[in-house]
Amino acid sequence: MSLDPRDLLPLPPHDFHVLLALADGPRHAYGLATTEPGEDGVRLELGSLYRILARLTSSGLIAEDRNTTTEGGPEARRRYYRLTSFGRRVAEAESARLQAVLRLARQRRLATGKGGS
Amino acid sequence: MNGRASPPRVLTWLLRAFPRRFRDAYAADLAADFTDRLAVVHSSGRRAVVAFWTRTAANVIAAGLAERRHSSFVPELPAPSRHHRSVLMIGWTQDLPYAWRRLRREPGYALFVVLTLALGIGANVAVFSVVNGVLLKPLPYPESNRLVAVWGRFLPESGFDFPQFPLSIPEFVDYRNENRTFASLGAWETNTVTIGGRGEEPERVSGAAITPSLFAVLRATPELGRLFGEADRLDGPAGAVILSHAVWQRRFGGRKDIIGQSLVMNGTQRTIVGVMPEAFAFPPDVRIWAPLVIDPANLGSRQSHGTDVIGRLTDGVTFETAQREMDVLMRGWRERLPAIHTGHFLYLAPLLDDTVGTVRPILRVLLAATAFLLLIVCANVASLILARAERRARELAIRTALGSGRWRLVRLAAVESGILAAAGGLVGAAFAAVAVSWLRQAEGVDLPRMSEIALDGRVWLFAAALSAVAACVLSMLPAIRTTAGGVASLLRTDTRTIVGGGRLWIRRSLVGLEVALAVILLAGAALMVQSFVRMMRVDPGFRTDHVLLATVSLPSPAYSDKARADAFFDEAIRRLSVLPGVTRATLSSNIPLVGDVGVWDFQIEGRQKPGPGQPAWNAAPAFVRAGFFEAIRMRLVRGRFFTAEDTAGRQPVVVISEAFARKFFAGEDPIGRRMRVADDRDQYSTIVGIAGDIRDKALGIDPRPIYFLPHAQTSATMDFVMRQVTLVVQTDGDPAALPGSVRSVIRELDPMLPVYSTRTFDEAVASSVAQPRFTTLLLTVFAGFGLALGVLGVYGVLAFTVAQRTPEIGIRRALGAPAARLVRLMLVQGLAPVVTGIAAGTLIALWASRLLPELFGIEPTDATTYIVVAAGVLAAATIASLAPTRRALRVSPLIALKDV
Repeated sequence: MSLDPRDLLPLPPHDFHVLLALADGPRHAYGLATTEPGEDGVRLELGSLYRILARLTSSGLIAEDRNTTTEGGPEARRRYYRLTSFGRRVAEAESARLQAVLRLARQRRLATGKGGS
Repeated sequence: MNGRASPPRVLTWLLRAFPRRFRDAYAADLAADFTDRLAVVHSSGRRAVVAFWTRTAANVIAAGLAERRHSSFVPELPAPSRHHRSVLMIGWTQDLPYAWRRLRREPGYALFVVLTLALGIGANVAVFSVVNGVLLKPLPYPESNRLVAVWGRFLPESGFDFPQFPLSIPEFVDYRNENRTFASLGAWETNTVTIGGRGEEPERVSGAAITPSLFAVLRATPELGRLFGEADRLDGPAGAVILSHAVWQRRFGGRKDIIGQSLVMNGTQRTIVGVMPEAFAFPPDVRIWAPLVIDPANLGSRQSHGTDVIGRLTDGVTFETAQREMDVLMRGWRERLPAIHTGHFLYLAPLLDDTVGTVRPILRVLLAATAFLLLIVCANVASLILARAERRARELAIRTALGSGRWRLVRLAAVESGILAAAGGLVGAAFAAVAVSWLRQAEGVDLPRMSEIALDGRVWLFAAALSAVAACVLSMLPAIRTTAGGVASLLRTDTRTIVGGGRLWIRRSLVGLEVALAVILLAGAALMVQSFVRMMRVDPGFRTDHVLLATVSLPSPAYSDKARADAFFDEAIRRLSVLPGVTRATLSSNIPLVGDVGVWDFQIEGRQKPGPGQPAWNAAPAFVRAGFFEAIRMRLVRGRFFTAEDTAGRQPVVVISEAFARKFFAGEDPIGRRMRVADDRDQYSTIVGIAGDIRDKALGIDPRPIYFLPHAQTSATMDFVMRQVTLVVQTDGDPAALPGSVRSVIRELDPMLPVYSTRTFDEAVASSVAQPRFTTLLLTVFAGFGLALGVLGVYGVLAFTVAQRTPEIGIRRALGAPAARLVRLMLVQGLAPVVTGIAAGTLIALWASRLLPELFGIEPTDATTYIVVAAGVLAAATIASLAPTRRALRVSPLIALKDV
């Protein structure tokens, strides 16, 4: 049974933040937490971050990436995460949704700039 | 990054906020990240370190606790099957441990469900085991469905009105000779006998004089020795007796050599010829059997009805054929003997119906009540399971998304319900086993075939079937829930926002159902309780407090002379009167509510015997000594009660009850009129007083006509009322302290005489209402459980609604919705299904109340009862709704809207 990515929308900002961060390629968790709000306005503390990782992994949006590991002994091994194709589709769908939102906001003169298309 | 520092101990400790599962998966990574980050922050100075520590610690604790509430994991299912065809067959072995683990993770929930189910199933199994033992099991005789009881019936045109009455010996003999449908017929007469001779402890046991054919009818075989044969034609000295297993064990230590030995029964020597097996109990409770001697030359009066009869149908003859033959024979009897057989005839009844007839309606009501209770239990548990499914909605949706077939999920739910129902069934059966073993030895619970109530194979099967049904019902609802509605809609909906009311409708309906069933149970119980209370409050016309009863029966050889018996009673009463604390001692042949001697004919001097259609001249007699009326504090309406002067040699007198005067002396003054008892042909007694009415048959039966005769004036022909009497001892202290001294007084007079049924009058009357008391109590307990579960259901659904709607409530609060409006909203939400349930329950109860056992002093449709029950249930449900409503009021707009 396959699932339409749109069914998961809207994504909570934190989830989207993590998906965005993984869009460029596998990363480990260290790079995902932010003490200060980042560009997307999301601040993610360590405890919350790992809950989101667990949730996204369970739902199949991201997966542990076993091909990429840090060097060093087994104790230094750190988990890398990558976007699954389903996760990528969900992130794209969310982006499209946000774009639509933005377009709407512009029409209502709540935002500046030009529409996406 | 080699040589990484190990994480601070404080952090390891803080991480304990997360559930173990989560820690196992992520704690090491989290700690490693923390250590790395801490190293970076160090360079920014002390303040940054403190700030980092505070923020992270707070976040770790908050996230850990949040994780405990809502797990981020979708727990891994055992590999989902891709083969849809085989999915039915495989996977059970995997589902079972998985479901087990999931239940173990919520022990409180599992325990509550199992105990609630155990309660419902246990009550059903216990009541069913009674129904099974009493109504369903065949009687313990070979081909017992061929056994038939023979009864006499008096229609009002006979002058009597007894729907069921024993036969007379001549009627038995005639029927035995004339019928062609019975293979054999047996007759018996029960009596209480004294066994034990000089130097032995005398004992009163129930005995029966039986025709030798009775054992043949039952196809009984002895455990030891032989049964009666045609040669055993002697009921008296040197006659044969057969002992029950119990008497053999108790009095003879189960010795094998007792056959041929002698036993003293009623003061004479008998020969023991046999012992019956332990399981044999016919007639019920009889401990010793003697031959019933029928002398063809002298059968006795055709109108002396005291013989019980059963028979075994000839092979191939149906019950209906036998009854038709009986009708034909009865027409012949009526033509031959119209004076006796007009309105009086014999009829047949299957022996099983005959044995259990009176308890059938009571058991039916109890069975229905427990079935309702089980339904309530199932509705309650189903509601709980649904709430749990709601919490797991996301998990289930994701599973479906990841490829678990819906069938798989339904099956998982079924396995879980199965485990719960099986555990509930097991614990319930254990409850039932305890209840049944208690019931079998409980005082005052008087059921026929009590000894056959047991947890046998059929009862276990019933318990298993109930568990299976419960499992089906319980897995069905969550299954509908799982498959209904798109997966997508579930995933999209955050569980913390508004859950569609559409999904709550099942739980609301369940609450409505629970409430309706609870109302039915409560209405039934309330009617029974009121009936019972009114019956207990009714004025019986006498008082039972401060009175001790003790029965003695003078054996015939020693007291065959009436003067000797009278002298014995004189002396006994004189000695009892002077016991410390005793204010009055007297005696009576029978005691109201405890026992009677039947209804006897009488004649009124100077009147024509009543013709057809007129009330027959018969009423209940009691033979009492002076002081009896005063001891039980009966009311004197006119004239006088008996005095010590009313003895054998004096003018015979009689006291009648008001009902007697109303019925037989309407518009006349009975005082001074004379009447005589039918058996007492030559002696008229003068009516000297009218006593207030008493309810002597049962508290629930209106007073009937009674006449009282002085015991000392009893003629010697009325053997058993003369010999067997109950001593009535009134005291100004506690009558329960008296039995010892009463027994020793009798022992001083005659050490051979057993004193039995020694108890206070209060106890005796209490045991006469033990059965309705027991039934009422059981029904009340069931109704109480039903109400408790129903209220719990109301609370559960509303609490759930509040939890689900917290954000909505927060918004309403934030937008300034007044508290009163919120309260109204919540109450309407919570109570709508309750009101519906009450309405439906009341209607059904009004219809079903006619199936209750007969009520006393209250109509089955008593409006007040239904209104009070409905109001009570509504009040209880409102109270149950208050806590969730208050929780809703306390919702802070901030918290409600904040997204954790």
